[in-house]
This record gives sequence, C-alpha cells and structure tokens, in this order.
Amino acid sequence: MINVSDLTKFYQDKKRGKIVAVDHISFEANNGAIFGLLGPNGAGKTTTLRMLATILQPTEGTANIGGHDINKEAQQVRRKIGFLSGDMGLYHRLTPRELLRFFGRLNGLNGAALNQRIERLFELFDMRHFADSKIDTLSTGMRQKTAISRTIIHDPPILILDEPTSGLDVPTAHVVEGYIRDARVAGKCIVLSTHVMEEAEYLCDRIAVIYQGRIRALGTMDDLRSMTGKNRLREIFIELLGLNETTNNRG
Amino acid sequence: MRLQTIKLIYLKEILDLMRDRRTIISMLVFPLLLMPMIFLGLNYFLIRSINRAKDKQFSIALKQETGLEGMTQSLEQAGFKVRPSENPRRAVENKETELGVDVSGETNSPAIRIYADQSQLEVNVAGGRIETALNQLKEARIKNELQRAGVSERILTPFTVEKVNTAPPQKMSGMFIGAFIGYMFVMFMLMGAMYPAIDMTAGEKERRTMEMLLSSPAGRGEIVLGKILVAITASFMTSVLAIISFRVSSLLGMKANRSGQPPQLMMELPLDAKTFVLIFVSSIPMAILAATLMIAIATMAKSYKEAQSYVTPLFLVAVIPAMVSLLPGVKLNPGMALIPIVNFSLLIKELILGDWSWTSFTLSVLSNLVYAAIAFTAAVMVFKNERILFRT
Repeated sequence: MINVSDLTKFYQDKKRGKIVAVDHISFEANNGAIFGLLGPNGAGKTTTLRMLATILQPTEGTANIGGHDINKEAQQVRRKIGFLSGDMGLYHRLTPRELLRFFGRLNGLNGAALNQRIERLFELFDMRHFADSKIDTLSTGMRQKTAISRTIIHDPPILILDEPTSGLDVPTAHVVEGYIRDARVAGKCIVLSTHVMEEAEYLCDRIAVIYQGRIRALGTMDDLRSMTGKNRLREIFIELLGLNETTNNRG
Repeated sequence: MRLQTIKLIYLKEILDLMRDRRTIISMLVFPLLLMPMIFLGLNYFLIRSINRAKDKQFSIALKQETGLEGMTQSLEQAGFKVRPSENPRRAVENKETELGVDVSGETNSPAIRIYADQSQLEVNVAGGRIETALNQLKEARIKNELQRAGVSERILTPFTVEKVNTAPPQKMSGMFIGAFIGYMFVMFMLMGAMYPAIDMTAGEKERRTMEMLLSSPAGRGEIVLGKILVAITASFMTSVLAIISFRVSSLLGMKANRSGQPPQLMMELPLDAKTFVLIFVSSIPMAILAATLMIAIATMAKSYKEAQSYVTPLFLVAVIPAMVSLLPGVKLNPGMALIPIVNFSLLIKELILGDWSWTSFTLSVLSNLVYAAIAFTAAVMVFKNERILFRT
C-alpha cells in the first residue's frame, strides 16, 4: 500500500527562479488495485513517481510505501518496489538474460531461485527467442518486455510504472496491459502514469488528474464523471484542465 | 556498504565496458598498438635518416678565397661532390647544393665557414662529416709543421683525460626511461580511466539507465564505489599495458637496429622485483585519484560529448606537473612530495633510477592517498546530488 502525504518538489532555476514541479499532493493507492496518474507533459507525474521510487528527495511531505517512509527508509522502500521509467532504462550492450541476472542479484536473488524466476519471465513474456541477443539489436516491443521483466524480477509487492505502454505497438501493449491486470489480481499495489486515456479508463481503479503539480481531481471513473458531468475520460480530462473554456473562448 | 553489491556493480560495469568499442580502443588498442608504432616508427626513421646521411654523396659549394692546400681532396675523400662557387651560402639557400664551405682570411690561418640547413637531420649529419674531414686535414697539417720544425708529435698530447662512469647500469638506463615513464604513467592512467568513467556516468545518464540503477536496492555510495573501482582497474590496466608494450617495443627496436647499439630511446627498462612492487604501491593512490577525479567530473555532464569537453582540460592540467619528471636535475624533496602528480612522476623516475628515499616515498604515497580520499568524497557527493545527477 502507498500513502502519499503533502508530497512536494521545488527546483531552483537560475533563470526561471523557483519551479514547483509537484505541489503538496496526497493520495492513497491500495493493494490489489491500480492507481492512475493522468496529466499532460510537465504536469509532475514523472517527478512524483521518481520521488516514490526514492530517486528524488521530496522538498516537503512524504510517502509511506509498504510500511516504509521514503525519506527515512529509502533502501527498504527500494526493496519493495519495481520501478519502470518511461525511457525503459536498459543496458544495450547486455542481453536480457544478463540484465535480469544483474538486477535479480541486486535484489537479493541468487542461484536456482534466480534462474527459475528468469525462465518464468521469459515464458510469461515469450522472450526465449531473444533472451541471449544484445538489447541494442532488439525491437521496441522486445525491449519493453525486457524492461517489464527487469522491473518485476524480484516479484515486488508494489509497482511504480511510468508510461509502461508508451511507444508500443498494439500487440505488445496488450501483453503489458495483461501483465498489469494479472498483477492486480495477484494483490499488488500498482501506480502508473499514462497519456493514453483508453488505457487509464480500462486499467485504473482510481485516477488522479494532475496538472501544474497539483491534483485537480481524484476518484473512480464514476466519481470523475459525476464531478465533471462528462462521460468519457478524454472529455473529463479536458474539462478538469480547463481546456474547454479556452477552446470556447477562442471560438 | 555491502561488498556483494559493490562486486555486482563492478562485474556488470566490466562486462558492459568490455563490449564498448571506445573503451577497448582507449584501454587496450591504444597502449598496445600506439606505443610500438611511436617507438618503432621513430626508431626506424631516425636510423634510416642517419644511415642515409652516412652513405649519401652530398654536394658542396666551395669558395676558396684563401687557398687551403688539400681542401678539395679531403672533402672528396670524405665522399662529397665538390663544386666551385662564388657564393656558397646562396647556393645552399637556393638548394643548388646541400652544403657550402667558405675559406677566407689570412693565408697563415684561414677561417672556414660551413653552411648547412640545420633543420634537416641528414644535412646535420653531413655537416659533421665535413668537420671530421677538416679536422683530419688540420691534424695532418699540424703534424707536417711539427715534423718540419723537428718537434715530436707527443707535444700535442702532454696528458690524457678519461672519464669513468660510476653510475650503476640501472641508473644509466633509468636516466632517460625513468623520467619518461613517470610522465607516461600519469598520462596513461588518466587516459585509461577517461572513457570508462564517462561511459559509466554521463553515458549512463544519456542512455537513461541511471534511474533504474538508483531505484534498485543498491545504495548510491555502493554504486559510485563500484564504478570508481572499474575506473581504477581500467586506469591500472592501461598503464600496465603501456609499460609492457613499451618494453616489448624497446626490445624489438634494439633488434631492428643494425648497429646493435640501442639508440637512447630504446634502452632497457630496469625493473627488479622490489622496484616493481614499490612502483605498484605508489601507483595505487595515483590510480584512485585519476579514476575518482574522472568519475566526479564526468558525473557533472549530462551527455557523453559534454563529459569529454569537461575531462579534456584535466589532461592539460595534469600534463604540466607530470612533465616535471622530464626536467633534468629535479629531485623529489619533502615539499615536492606533497604536490599531486609531480610527486608521482618524480617518484617513478627515482624508483627506476634506484635513487630514492623512504621519506619521499612515504610522503608521496600518503599525500596522494589523502588527495584520493578527497577526490573520492567529492565523487560520492556529486553522485548523491540529484541536481547534478538529473541535470537537464
């Protein structure tokens, strides 16, 4: 379970002064549920996820992840999470097998247990035929499967996924979405950010719309519908960002 | 700090780097191929030029304003083609002849001028041949005059002088090589660490793999230590390979030399077990310093290219103190032993010369260890600074 409380991130920029990337956001994400962070580019989604993954230090506020505080127990937090960034973050000179072995060992897996886990993931994502090819020779879909496998090599109870289907073709995106749904069924706590409205609508149990570092709305699809009077998530999103008014004023 | 995690990061980085062409070139190919190319090539061209100058028939523009008996014959016997000329200097400047000789002044003691373009090695050697021929002519004339006056030739050598070299062979061989190796060691240590350090920091940022590593249970101190150890390994490996390569090319150079006498550049590397161990020990803090500096600087860059431009000035800064070992007569005193790089390059020189003291050795190693510790702390701080790590 994730409990985010007043999480804030400021930056000081020489030219632009104080930049508020994330502004006192709070939310809860439960086990066996998918929590979606929805927002345009630069809204603060990635910064939020990076803080949850203890890559960035919050300026204010905190989050409790699986019983550990991100400010005080960063290492324990990192043991409990699987973090996937939008850039995949793969070592291109290694093979998927070498990569999984490396991250598996970093997470405390070894010997037969590690090999079994790697084989299971190869099976799950149909990766055997490229398991020993260098990553820089793989297609985008193959790479994303490798990235997802790396994220879950230690079977973490909490998944933090930054745009997990970004740039993927429909079949590969389908495989990834399938895994996320299965992870929910397995009782994992999942926080994901996405640009794809359909994906958020289809996958997420609860959604937070984030804009200019602040949460503009939070709830189930039904909650968001009743808040905005709109039916489709795309319309809800545009309404919450105030883009309708801009368009109407222009018209 | 968990050793197992540091070891994992170290082994992963080594595997990753061994598959990087740039690292392989800078770490292995460069010292293994470039050193023999430089030394054998230099040796080859030097010997070829000298031999050509010895055998070649050079032309001389000769002006005898004051007659000097036997002059033309002496030069011809020495293998020169003599051409009379009104202005030998101009003949050389206009490249009509390779050398010029001008005899002027009083008949009893004429002055001889030799004109040569001294920027050309061959012509320089030929100039020496003229001097030898003229000295022989001078000697013959003195002997004739002495004979005519009834004076014994022995008057020319009232006493003899002999210089006896008391330096042991190690010191003689080490004189040049020690000075050069100290400088070379520093350069190769920096060069060896450069590409791995950039690849593991700015390269990792550019490839966007850093976040994954930072979100793993590995601590930042463990990550940076693993990376520094890899850069140290690379730094060491490159310098050791460079030394081996230097040794092999010096042996090959000696074999290739027709005269069997090694030219100065190709002297043997005097290394006994004790010297080797002492060089190894003194190299450890230097390698740590080179590697951690490279890691700290490269971490500040956001791309490979930017890191290269940050790291290049470090070479320029290091070249000057490293060159101190090339200066004759500079000794490693306690003050010098506290100056980083200077102390190392001088210490290597003195160790190879076999002319060192435990005080200078200990001071140099300890002060470099302190500098290495400072650089290490700086590297860890840079790595823990998220503004630097996630600079966009």
